[in-house]
Amino acid sequence: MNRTEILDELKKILAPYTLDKEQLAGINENTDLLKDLKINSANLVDIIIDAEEKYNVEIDYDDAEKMINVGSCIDVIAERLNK
Amino acid sequence: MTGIGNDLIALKAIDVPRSRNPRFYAKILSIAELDLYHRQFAHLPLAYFVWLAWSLKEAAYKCLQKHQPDLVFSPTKIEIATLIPPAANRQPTINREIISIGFTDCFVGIIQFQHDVVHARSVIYGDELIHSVVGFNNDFENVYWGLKQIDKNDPASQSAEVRAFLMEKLTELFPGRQLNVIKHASGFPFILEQPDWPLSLSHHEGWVGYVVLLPY
Repeated sequence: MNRTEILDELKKILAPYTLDKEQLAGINENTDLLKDLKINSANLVDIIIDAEEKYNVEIDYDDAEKMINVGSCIDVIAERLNK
Repeated sequence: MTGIGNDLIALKAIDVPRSRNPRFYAKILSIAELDLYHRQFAHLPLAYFVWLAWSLKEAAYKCLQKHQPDLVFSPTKIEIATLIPPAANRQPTINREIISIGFTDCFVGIIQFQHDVVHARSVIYGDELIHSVVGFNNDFENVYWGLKQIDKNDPASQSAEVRAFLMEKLTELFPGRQLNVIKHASGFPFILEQPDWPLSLSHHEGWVGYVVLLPY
């Protein structure tokens, strides 16, 4: 999967956790999950688990703590997919 | 050093089966904290303990982040060193609003992150809410706090409501004083005219809450 494909799938993962559908539609690699998408921090682990299930990878917390914006989420997922 | 952080968890919003899944809670609890649950807190539903731990760690992060703006929230690296359950058996309840000072009948904890040690108080309100507050000092006597249920749960309404709720309290305590709550470049709120009064705001689903540490 290339980064664009991962981004498209990531949008679907993030959708249940943000009410700001306009921001979600326009996300790019710099979009911050908490500040821009207004995702509650209590949902961050849900997003990690959903990503693990979607891509059939395991994301440990050393990786997960980097997942603060869309670009870093894609980095982590791409790296895990390539392992 | 002064500072304060808070966190709220609306228990009706949590996914209980997922919270009890080892894949989920292993991203929040350390092995030592899971052991602590089995030794001392097995009377609590595991899902509630997982979210109690989360709220303690998030509140600790918010307290520390004001002094370390680049800090990244990493739940398993913020450790619950000790946690003592409330002495009373009765379960606190909450209606739509509660405003108070200090804490009684609460969980009392010490949280550690690298070389920093902070002190915690938490209350579980039945099946409704977990509220955690963390400060640098083990003295919560001058911690003024409020929790309120609101009808809207979109981030803009939550943010506006919690600020209005805090301002009601500040206006009551300091009538006639011009006080404005604004956001720091690093994202945390502070009182423009009194940046030395630590405060923290939190919201989850239909609940909002503030804490402010006043000098008297």
